Amino acid sequence: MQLAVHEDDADVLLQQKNKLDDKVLDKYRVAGKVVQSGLKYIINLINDSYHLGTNKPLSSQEICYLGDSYLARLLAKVYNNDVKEKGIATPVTVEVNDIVGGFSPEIDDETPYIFSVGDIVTVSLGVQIDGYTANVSHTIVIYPQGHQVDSKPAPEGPLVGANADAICAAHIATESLVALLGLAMSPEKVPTVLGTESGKITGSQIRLLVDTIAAQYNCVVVPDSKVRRIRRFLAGQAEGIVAEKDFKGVVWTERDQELGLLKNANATGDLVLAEKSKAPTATTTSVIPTDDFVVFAGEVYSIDIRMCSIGSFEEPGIITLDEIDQFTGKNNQENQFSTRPTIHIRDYAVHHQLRLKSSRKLLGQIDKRFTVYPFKLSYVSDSFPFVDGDVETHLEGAKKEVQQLKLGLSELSNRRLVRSRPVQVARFVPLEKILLTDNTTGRHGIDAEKPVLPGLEVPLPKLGISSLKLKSLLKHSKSVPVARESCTIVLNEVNNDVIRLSGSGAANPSWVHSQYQLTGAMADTVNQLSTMMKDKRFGINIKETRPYREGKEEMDMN
Amino acid sequence: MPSRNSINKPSKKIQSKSHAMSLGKRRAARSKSVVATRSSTSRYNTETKTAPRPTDSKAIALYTGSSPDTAVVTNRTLSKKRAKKIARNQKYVQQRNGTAPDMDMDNEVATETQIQRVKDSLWELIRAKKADSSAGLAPAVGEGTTLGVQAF
Repeated sequence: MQLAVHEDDADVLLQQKNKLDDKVLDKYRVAGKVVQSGLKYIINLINDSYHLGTNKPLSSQEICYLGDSYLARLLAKVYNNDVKEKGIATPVTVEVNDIVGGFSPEIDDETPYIFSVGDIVTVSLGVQIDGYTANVSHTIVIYPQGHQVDSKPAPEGPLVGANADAICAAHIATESLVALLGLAMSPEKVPTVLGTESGKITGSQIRLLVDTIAAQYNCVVVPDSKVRRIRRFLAGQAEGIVAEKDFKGVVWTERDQELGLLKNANATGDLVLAEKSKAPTATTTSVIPTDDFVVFAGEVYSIDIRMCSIGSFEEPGIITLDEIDQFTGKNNQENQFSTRPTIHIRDYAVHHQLRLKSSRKLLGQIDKRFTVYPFKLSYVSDSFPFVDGDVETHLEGAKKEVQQLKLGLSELSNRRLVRSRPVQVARFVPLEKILLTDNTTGRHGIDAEKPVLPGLEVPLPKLGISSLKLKSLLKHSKSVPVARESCTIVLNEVNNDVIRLSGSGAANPSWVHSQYQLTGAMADTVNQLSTMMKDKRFGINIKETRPYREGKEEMDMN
Repeated sequence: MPSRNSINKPSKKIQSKSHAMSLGKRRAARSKSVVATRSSTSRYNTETKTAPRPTDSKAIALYTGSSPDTAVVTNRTLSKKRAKKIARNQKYVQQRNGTAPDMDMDNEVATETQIQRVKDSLWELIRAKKADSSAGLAPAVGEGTTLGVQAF
């Protein structure tokens, strides 16, 4: 269904409301501040539980609930009369090792999701104020406890190995991308390696930079990583459900890995030719992502890079994502991880007269409070958020409320009024198994559960492997841990500076050591980019958004 | 079945049929103008870049919503059976006229398909990796990379 919006209204909504004036910048900045504080809060929670031992180890579901509550508490203090909508744009997700996205267990989940030493844990969250969104993800390491340096608890040594490679690659790629996108304001300073005939920052330069960094750390960019422009209410929260006109961004999928493998195999000619590439254009009306776009000052970008190391595998292969649901592996694999999705989003294209009173009530609340942003059931409960008092008793009450709300939700999701975001894990499928398989149905086998962007439905087009066929090959696959770093930046053309809404200050990298390092021309390029970030006289003026000071949020807000 | 003019004509049936038809027309018109999404089928949205669904009709001469201005619009579809029959009769006509293409199997040249070429080159990659497990990997050089500090 297409919602009827008059052209003039569309112009107001898509163009004028996205102009970065003082009011808009302020909303972005406050959203960034809340996100940074939330990230810091959650990292402190994890540290207290697993490193300092000051409280009992919190499970994933408790961390998610407390993190969401903290964000809700901060949001309640800002923009109370000026905006119609504000809220959590990405529910707090705490993902361990190979879990890639959408894992935010509900508080009534009985499974104890406790971390163990050596795990890499990715924390993601996001906040919107009046539709202006800031998101962040950061990967941290769980170290063994008990070591002290200068009578302060500290890790005994850095994390090494495949996970460390992935963390390094993700961190370096993200930081370099912040600098590269920041150069959109002064494109003449772009390092020569990335090619600057046009004097512009284009999608292909972004891809080249990330792919080269990944290759030097023996990593692969995990599918669904993306660097994309975000606009008011269009921050990629409904990707795979609603197609977005004028999509502008680089998206990594399995097809890029296929192309990379073909290039490694020294295939020539039409085999390695990418899809017909046009000259980069200023505007694109397509919903299908291409690299043929130019980054302009005055835009807001979200950088979301996920890396996993393939150095330890004996054979070449493809990294793909597997959707976990409560049915997977129920046949005979009892030890397999299974969970049900907990993050839901309203699909406004669907209308249905509901039967149950509880679902009608729930739908009313969802439409009113969360609009186009994803939500969890616990947000709807009356006891949310946790403010103060005894955590244990509060969580017990919240559990009961969530269980009651589930009843209403089932009708909503059966009727497709709300869609769930699947929990995804990263899997390594050996190339040999893919080559041995036969895909007779061609492109017809599309996996309806997989949230993909339009035009990218077929994961391996050159081999003619459809997504359902690839899913059937997952029985031969192995899990791979994934490191993820993401942040949101504003290219502010008025003051000629980059406002980094999230990441950096609140997301310091954990202590890791990789045996690889950048070499050759790319090492110089990355060094050059990081030098430019250090001082505005060298190139880019980066303004970082700081979290609220601990216990002094009130003061900071005034 | 009673006719349209009889006293007990199936008015409800007639009405619901015309109602369904008008709904179908409106749906087709709407889908034509809509942005290509995963949920838009190629039946109603012919310009879409999305891949065909297994449920999409494979019938020949199906009315797809777009028509040249001069032609007469039809919504009649050709059944598989009828399409086969027409093709078979065409073949007989060609044979009678002596214009049939050479059906001799021996003359067929074995052409390597694109997918086979892709697969062959990727098998090379697997062989190379089996021979040398470090093939295609970046070597560990220098001191490596260290991030972060010794603190939580």
